[in-house]
Amino acid sequence: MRRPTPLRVVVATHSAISGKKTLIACCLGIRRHLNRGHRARAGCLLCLSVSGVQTLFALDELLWARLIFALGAVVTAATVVMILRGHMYWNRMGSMDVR
Amino acid sequence: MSADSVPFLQPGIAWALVVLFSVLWVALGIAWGRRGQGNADDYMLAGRNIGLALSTATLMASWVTGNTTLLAPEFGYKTGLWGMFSYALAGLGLILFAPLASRIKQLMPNGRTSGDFIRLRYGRLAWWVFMLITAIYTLGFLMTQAMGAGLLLQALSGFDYHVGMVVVIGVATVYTLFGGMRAVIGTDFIQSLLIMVLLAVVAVLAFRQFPMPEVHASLLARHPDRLDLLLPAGLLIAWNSALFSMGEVFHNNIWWSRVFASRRSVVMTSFVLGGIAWMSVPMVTGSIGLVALARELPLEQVNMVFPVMAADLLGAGGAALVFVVVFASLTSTLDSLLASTADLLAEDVYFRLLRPQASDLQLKQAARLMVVGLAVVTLALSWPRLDSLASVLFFTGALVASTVWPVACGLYWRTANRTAAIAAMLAGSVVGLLAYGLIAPYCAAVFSAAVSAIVMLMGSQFWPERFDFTLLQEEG
Repeated sequence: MRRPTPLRVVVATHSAISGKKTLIACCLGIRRHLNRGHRARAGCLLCLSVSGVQTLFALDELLWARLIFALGAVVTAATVVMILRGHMYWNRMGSMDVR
Repeated sequence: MSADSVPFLQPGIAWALVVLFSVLWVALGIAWGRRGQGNADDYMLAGRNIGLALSTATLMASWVTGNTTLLAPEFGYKTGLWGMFSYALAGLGLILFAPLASRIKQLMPNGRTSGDFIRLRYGRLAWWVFMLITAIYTLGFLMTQAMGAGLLLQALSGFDYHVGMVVVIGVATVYTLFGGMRAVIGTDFIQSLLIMVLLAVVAVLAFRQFPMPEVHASLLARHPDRLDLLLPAGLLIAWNSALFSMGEVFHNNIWWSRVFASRRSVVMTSFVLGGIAWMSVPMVTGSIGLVALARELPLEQVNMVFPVMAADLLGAGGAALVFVVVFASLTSTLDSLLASTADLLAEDVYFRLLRPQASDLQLKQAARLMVVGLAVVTLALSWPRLDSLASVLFFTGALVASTVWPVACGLYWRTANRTAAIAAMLAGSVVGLLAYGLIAPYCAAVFSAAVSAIVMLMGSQFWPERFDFTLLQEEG
């Protein structure tokens, strides 16, 4: 069975071809942070970002549905309130009041 | 039983029903169309003097579409109780438009189209954006009706898909062409009575054969998720229907033309009553979808639940009743769509944009030509058959929901900003389409309306205008 190419070899090869060392460093950093065995550090921005993204997408289907349900309820309620307020306002003022 | 196998209705009976109702609609439409003064205003808006009964019936009949009879059961079948309830929430569109209708009638006593309002309130650029949205929505709507017609006749009577489509579009086009809005409203009245009475008959007969406790027990045993009010897909659909329907009603000229055609004293009441009456239809047809699920009826196409189920339960009589209900639903919606969209194109594009010097007779002729042109375009677009009507419909939801706040704010707020209205429609549509593709088609309208509302609120708050509402009244 063929063994996977070690990461250092991949990076070295890619670096030799592209010469974009900054990109390689970023890729390596993100990959290291996404590794299950990686220990999160309090002051590390990348640790915080990766953790936030993972938490967001870890929400289950039901929670997503509930969030969208809540958003729909808020938008519908806001629309109803806006229409009723407008209707009552112009009923009080007279329809052609254009002040 | 599949839509492509043995038909439920003998082809002879199906053809007899088609001929009977086609002759009836065309004869009545032409006869009613001969009344009135015969000018463009009369042709497009039926003399602007429609009373409460006719107004309520035409609103209800136009809102009962092929989708209501084919999609509501599909929702019930796929997503259970929430699917059924959420489809019924679409009645909110008509009910919430009632106060707006009253305001429109007050501000624009001589207005003709929704395009008139957008152009006068927000300017020509906003009008272009609005017309693009309404064009995509109208074509999508026409396509779903045309495809529904083809699928129905094929499933019930074994007609070729294309033959059924041509028959239904042809009949609606003929009486709309010769009778104008009078023919549309008159036939809508009879069609709405037919739909309500026959649906009640189908529902009563169906539940006598398969009582609700049995349906409930079967669903509980085999599909408990469909009774779950926390079913994720059901939750996603819930508010989408309400916001989608608001977008459809608030922007589309079908409903604006009914406002202009009705008497001022009845316009608000008729929208409220029409919305409430309409809500009963998806509840009945949706519950038929649940019965089909409880009976484990095999279906090759989910959008055929209602006709397949009715024919299975009630035999040839049930198939004939459903045939008449859906035929009436399709023609009543298609005639309204053809008439009001033709009016929009004739008034806003031909008269206001291309030939402002056109005479009254030329305007009426243009409206007639538009009716024929729209029918041809609909046939061409609907020729290839799609698997699910829902996919076509939800796509347009992302667009129309973005018009809810610009339209409502434009009628009520002097401060509503025209640039904000354009940005709201564009941003809402883009985000709605992204949600359609990335999350689920069911929630496109929610995201579209949310973004549109935020943009409209912020824009009008930070850059308020001082619009003079009498500018709307001058239009005549």
